[in-house]
Amino acid sequence: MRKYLKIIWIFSKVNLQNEMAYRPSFFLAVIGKTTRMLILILVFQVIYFNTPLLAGWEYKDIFLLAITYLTIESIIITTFHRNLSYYLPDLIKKGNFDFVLTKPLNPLFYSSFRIIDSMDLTSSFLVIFLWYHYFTHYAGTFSLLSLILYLLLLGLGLIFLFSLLVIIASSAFWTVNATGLGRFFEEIVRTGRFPTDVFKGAFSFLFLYVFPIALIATVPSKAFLGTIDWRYLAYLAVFTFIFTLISKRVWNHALRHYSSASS
Amino acid sequence: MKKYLAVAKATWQEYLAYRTNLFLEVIGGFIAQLVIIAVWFSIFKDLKTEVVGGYSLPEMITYLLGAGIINSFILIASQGDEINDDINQGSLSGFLVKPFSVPLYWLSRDFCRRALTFILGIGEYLVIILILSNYFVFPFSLTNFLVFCLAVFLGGILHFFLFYIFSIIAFWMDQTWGPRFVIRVIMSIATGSLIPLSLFPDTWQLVFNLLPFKFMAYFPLQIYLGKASLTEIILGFSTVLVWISALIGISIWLWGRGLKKYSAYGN
Amino acid sequence: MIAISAKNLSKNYEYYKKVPGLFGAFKSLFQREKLITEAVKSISFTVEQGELVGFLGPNGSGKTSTLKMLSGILHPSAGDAKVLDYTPWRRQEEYQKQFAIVMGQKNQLWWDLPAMESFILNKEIYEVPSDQFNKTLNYLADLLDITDILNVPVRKLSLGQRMKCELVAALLHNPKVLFLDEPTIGLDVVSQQKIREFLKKYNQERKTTILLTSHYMEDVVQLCKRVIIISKGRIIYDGNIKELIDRYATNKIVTVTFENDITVDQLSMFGEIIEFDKRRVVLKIPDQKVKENAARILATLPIDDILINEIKVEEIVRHIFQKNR
Repeated sequence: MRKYLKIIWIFSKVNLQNEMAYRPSFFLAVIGKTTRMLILILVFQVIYFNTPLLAGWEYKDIFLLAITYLTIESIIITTFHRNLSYYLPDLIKKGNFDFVLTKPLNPLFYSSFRIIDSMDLTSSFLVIFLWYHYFTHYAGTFSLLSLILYLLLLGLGLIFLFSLLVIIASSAFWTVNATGLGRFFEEIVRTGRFPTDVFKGAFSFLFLYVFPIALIATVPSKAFLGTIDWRYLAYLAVFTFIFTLISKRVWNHALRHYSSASS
Repeated sequence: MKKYLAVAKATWQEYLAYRTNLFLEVIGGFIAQLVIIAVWFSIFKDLKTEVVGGYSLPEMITYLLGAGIINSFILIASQGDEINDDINQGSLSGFLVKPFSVPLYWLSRDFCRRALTFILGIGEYLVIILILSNYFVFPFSLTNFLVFCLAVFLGGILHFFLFYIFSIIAFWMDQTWGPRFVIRVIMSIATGSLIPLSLFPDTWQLVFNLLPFKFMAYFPLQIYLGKASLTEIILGFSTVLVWISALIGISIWLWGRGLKKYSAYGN
Repeated sequence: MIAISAKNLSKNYEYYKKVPGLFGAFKSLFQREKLITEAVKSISFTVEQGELVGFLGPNGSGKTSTLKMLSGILHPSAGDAKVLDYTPWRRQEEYQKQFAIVMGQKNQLWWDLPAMESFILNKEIYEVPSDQFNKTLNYLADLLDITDILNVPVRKLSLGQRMKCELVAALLHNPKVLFLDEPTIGLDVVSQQKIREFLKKYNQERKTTILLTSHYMEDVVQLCKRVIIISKGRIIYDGNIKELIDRYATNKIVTVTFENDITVDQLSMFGEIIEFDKRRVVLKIPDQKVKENAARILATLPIDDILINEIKVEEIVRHIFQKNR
């Protein structure tokens, strides 16, 4: 465990050095990324400029949902998102994945955290500021229990997204160009920006049960606000557990395929 | 002209090899647009009103579908990467010895890509339009539709030259994706493809009016829906032409200086 | 002690026949013709601890596949192998900490950063204690003469320097077994020689078992006592390189320069003519006749100079490969 933390530390340090080498790009990237976060807040402001309520959500609650989404997004784009969707296919294409398999290190760990993006890490400070803004302006009273539940669900959401991306990334072992899938994944995650309550009928069922996008921001926010059904939470926990097992199987299968087919 | 068509033809073959990736990117944008449509359905339902910000529900849905279709050939994440790589990795040297204009070569490749992503995207949108046919508004008039197409075309040209300028600064910089990334982020809201610009508070509208991005989605769609008056259309077209001329002027100037630097130092 | 053993190790690659055209592509969605290439066909060999063995073969002969199986990158289709008593493709950490692989055509160093950063990463990955790390690094950097470039970004290094850094990165954890896949490929002659000298010395001092593939004959001749020759997935020779030369080098190459013009007829009785120019001829003469024929040439023809050479190993191997085609 200590070894893995140390390695993550090296990965972050090295990438910061790498990216600071191109300073103008670094600053523009941070500007772009923070602007992108603020645009989400702006979108909601404009929506609430025209309506007092969105699918039953008030602005102060939507603000929580938005920063929950931004928190999740910041965590995944700083860590595994680009590693699995873009850098892993590249590693495989260039044949350098061979080295990954010879090292005394979990290949999935290496593939997921090899490049810790310092641009995204820097932009994440805005999220902390937004949290501060939320607690000083919008937050009502909440219990410690709901806060703990919130954090647990945030973790569950991250596990869900990680497993999903592992499954998507595994396809890179079969196809040469897998970057389109990465972009596709980005859009899937982005659907989580809005409360899943806006969906009706079959779509609602799809995003709540079959493919629980709701887990990305809607469910943790509702848990924090104390408006969530326990039975649904239990379902999500079981769902994520099974989904993670499946993704592990898929990854192992992909590794086996690599070591039996690559040349 | 003929040789650029030949370029486009060859490019077409080349890009077809990446069709799966392009398709996934287009369908990703498609899903995002569907989510926005769901959001607006929900708002109209909650408000129990016929009109929000001057838009009826069918107008709003049509607006968002149209913006999605336009996005499928404008909002591509890698816009400009190829030009940047050609310059930074030295392929440009190979092009320069050939008897054609390199900027026009890039332009024809770009429009080829646009045609391809448009084709990859239009199918999904047609299916959704069929499903939501109750909410789909036809163009205000045939003239409006033709003028709309012209405006979309000009928006594409504007988009190309904007990104082109921020790609050929590769003559001076190692990495040029930074500025293009910032533009893309601003574009995601300022073209009006998420929310019609008229729904923004006044200050924001003022800002968006000063930027060129509204000509890529908002302006053409206003024409389509018949929400733009003749004066507004004329004013809009004049402005977009001024923008395009200015960008072309800047790009020609930059290209000349860049080439001088390129041939002086090599790359 | 045996460090590496392979028994009936085989590797097949399966792939599907590509049918050209859109219709073909559509058809192949439902019905595909499976094709199999046998890259490695049931090879067996053992390597003693501390041995430096050359693995020789043309491109596509199965050398790299074998090396990849021994490093656990590839699963064999059949057969078994043990390296340091571990089954490589189980990829146990204990095993991974005891071997290293260097591939001449791939690099594992961070491109934009000094090699030192990659070394530090490897230190953590292999859990090398700091004092041991420093000691090994100094030893290696000294031996390879790269102390001054450790802090230069890798992209600014020459190919030879980069290869040296790759070697250091691979050896920092003092592996007991080292696999080298074409370590000198693309290098200039001087760098090739430096790498060879290093490997020789390192092998002698550290008693590391080294398995090396190359298609530069010089690598193998200079470094290895023993050579395994592989062609189309099969071992066709495994043994001492001297014996190989003795067995196949039954001829000598005699180059004669004359004072006057000479005709072919005057020479053909002495041996097989390989090259002929009016005043210079290269002959291939069987070993037992070399002395006698050389004497006769000296006696009967207007000689300017005469040179007797061994056949080059390269020639021998090429000959073997041709025979096995």
